[in-house]
Amino acid sequence: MMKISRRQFLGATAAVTAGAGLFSFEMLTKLDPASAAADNSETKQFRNVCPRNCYDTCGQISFVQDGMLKKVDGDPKHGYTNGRLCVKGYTYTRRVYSPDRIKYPMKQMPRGSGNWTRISWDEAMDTIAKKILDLKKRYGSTLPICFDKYSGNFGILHYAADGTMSSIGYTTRAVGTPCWPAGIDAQTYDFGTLYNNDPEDMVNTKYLILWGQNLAWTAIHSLPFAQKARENGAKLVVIDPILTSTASKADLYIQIKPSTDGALALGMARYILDNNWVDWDYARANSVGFDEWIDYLKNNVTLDWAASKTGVPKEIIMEIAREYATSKPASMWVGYGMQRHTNGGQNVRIIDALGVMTGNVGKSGGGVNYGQLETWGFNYGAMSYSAPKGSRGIVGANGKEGDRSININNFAHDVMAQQDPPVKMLWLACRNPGGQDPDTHAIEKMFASMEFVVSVDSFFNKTVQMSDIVLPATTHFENWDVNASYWHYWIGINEMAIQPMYESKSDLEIAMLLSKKMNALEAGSCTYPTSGSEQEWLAKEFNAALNASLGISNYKELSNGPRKVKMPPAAWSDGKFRTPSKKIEIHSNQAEKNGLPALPIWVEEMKAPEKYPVRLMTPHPQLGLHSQFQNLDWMMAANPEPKLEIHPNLAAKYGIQEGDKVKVFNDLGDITLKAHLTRTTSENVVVSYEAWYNKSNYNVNYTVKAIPSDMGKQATGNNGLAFHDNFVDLQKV
Amino acid sequence: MTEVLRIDLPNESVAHFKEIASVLLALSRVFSHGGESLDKTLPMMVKTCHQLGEYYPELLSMSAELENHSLLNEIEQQQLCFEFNRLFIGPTPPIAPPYESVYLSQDQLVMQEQTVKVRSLYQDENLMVISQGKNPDDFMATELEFAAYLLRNADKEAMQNKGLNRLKYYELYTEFSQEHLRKWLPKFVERVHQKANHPVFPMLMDVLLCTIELPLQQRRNV
Repeated sequence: MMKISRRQFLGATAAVTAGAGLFSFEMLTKLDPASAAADNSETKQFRNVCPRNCYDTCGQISFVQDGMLKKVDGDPKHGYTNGRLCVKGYTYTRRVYSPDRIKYPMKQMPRGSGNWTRISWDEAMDTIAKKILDLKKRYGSTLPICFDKYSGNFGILHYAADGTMSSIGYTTRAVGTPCWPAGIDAQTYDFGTLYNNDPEDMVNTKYLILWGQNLAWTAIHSLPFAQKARENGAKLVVIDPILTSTASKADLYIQIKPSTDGALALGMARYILDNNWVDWDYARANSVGFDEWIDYLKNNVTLDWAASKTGVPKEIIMEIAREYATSKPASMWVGYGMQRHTNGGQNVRIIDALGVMTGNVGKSGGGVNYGQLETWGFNYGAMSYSAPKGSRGIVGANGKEGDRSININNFAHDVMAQQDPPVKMLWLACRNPGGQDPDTHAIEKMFASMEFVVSVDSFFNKTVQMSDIVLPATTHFENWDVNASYWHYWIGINEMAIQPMYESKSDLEIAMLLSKKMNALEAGSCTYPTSGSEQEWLAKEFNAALNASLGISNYKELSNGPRKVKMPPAAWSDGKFRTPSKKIEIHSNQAEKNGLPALPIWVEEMKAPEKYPVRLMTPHPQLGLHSQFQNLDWMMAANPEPKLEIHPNLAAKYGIQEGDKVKVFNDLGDITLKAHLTRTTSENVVVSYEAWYNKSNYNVNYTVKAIPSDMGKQATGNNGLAFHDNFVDLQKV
Repeated sequence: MTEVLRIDLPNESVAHFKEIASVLLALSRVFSHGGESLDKTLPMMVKTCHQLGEYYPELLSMSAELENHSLLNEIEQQQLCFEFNRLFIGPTPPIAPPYESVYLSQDQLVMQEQTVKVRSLYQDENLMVISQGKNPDDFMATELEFAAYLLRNADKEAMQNKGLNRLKYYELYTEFSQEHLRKWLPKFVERVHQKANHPVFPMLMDVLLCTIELPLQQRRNV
């Protein structure tokens, strides 16, 4: 027996390999030395930004070895996220390399059957382009094509999906935002726009009220700033119908009846007024209608009323009113959940007024903080392409033809209501209406009525299930982009860290590919460019003003680290409000013109109907973000199934015990899930977190009606959704 | 350091490397061409199985069954394609993702240490995956193509009567099979056996497991 070493062996095989050309390779090819050299085991680092619909928009560092993403960590140069990620952010390698990813363009025949065929990108583009041209020919316009995009990826180059639609003609567009429009309008009426203090400035506060805000789950990177403020002596108060993780960390937790936040703020305001803790100088100098509101308080609000309305004891209202008014500065952070009511926007306006009356607006360590879009000064070139010449659209108020708008928050019904021409095709990008829109049964019906549905996604979900063609989307590690936050002031570049897996493509690549096909089939049918690298497109998103605000001369400098937009730490510190009067409008003519109260006065909350006496709240979960993340293996291991959180007293009424299956229903639909008895929720409120679980049809929106919130159309085009004004009954299964 | 042992194989068994390689290559094409091309790749599977079946009667019965299921009308072919995609491709989470690291890595993901290891083996042979970095190197079709390549070379060496060289590719196949194919394919096959809704796929799996064992069986016989 003789032994040979591997070195000897390899040397001997080279000659044989030289003859490998005779072998019929399809998967393998001759080694490219350059590729092999580049693919060494040295770890490379790239800058990325989490593009999810989240306050934190984390700066990330991706670690790549052998062309593979090995680890994702926080970017230490990011001053807000400070080198850390949330539990979702640390799972990214599992998202990128999940075997469940959608890998190729796929066609389903017929839609909803589960019968999928793999097709080439060329066939996909050909099928889609021909359908667009066919509809255009049949109806004389591209209005039968409806586009719905929202927050699956907030990267600026992903607005190329919007550009795709603009460049083929005038189309039907889902307009609005499901998440936060009532609050946006409230702050628009009051201040001229939404604009929060730099969250890092939170350390300077002496008193912090988190109003319906669960930062421990949804904005974890703000927690260190809040904790720092506490170390400096600040008191942390959490007001929420649910005893959240954040509430458990607070100095004082107040369990409020849902949708009565305005009543609590009014009660506080009355007590502040009665004790003359009002900052009269600030309020009168900077606002209009303040004294009118003071009269309202005197004539209409009592502490007893506020206590009765909110379920918060009078003594507690007095305590937090005194502390909030006398701690200087004091800060409030208004969460998005609290405005998802039929009086949600109005409640935010009342809280705004509370901030004004105590002189906390425009102050470092203060503010009524909701969100901001001040830092989003990009060119939006990827979406800015005009319709081909001769395109027909809807004649708008300006007399010009344009897109047809429908309400994103009543999507199913609005799509089906269109008649001239009807909607026949859907294009879904960064959006999963099958999982996230209210009234899922109506969504299913609407999808079934379509001739053709295209979705672009990374994972199979309810919307993909109802599509004719699904196009595989890249993850953010596989394309270039730039991202801003709607909370902190940082902007970061997102570098391409790894090659796009399988045949996935970005929205930008898809836009160019479709344009190429459209023009090949019918010259001039699409105005979207057909070439350009992602980095070339990225460069076009920057302008002199943005560069100056970031202190850079070229976007490439962001590869050295994210930059913070140069703005004062306190929003509105210059006193230049953007309302018609240029002052804070406690009395808002604009609100009145829109059929709302001019003043921040109490508007009754939606009451539970007799038939459905229990409120079902469906807040954001800890381990997912809408229909993202919860499907991943780690999340499924940690949180394998949805649960219904129910107060023991309410459970007893229905004979429900821990672990029992419970049917939650109303006249719209039902869901069945396991009961978890807990006193974290109040007696007439059950809670189930909105999420999409892997291989599960669980969807809270089967029971959620498309009831509009009170505000949103002024600034976002349509009112929001009263997701939390959802009433049900229960039945032990 | 890997050591290669010199073992003399009976002459008649060496000739089978070529036929075994053909079956593995045909299996590779089944997975690389996908469910949409089963009308072409399955008959090729059957043909190569028949050829190899001359030496291994157990394969003859398998290929006969496979043949029965590969002569399908258009609708049946379409159903087969849908089932193939449900099992291996998506867009629903595939039942049996055809990637080694999904079965052997701690994290059960693609692009893990197994992927790097097979890439290294390909590089030793002056080869690389055509779309390296985009498609995992340990994709089933790629591993089977590589296995076929090794056996084809083993056969060539044997034909050239190069003495010691004759065993080198065989040993490389043995190593590749023991370190990779034999470790993960049984787990992969088990999933298909448990969840497949069409008999052709468990049959394919049986052929697959049987075929990768044949060269090793020869050694055991010795």
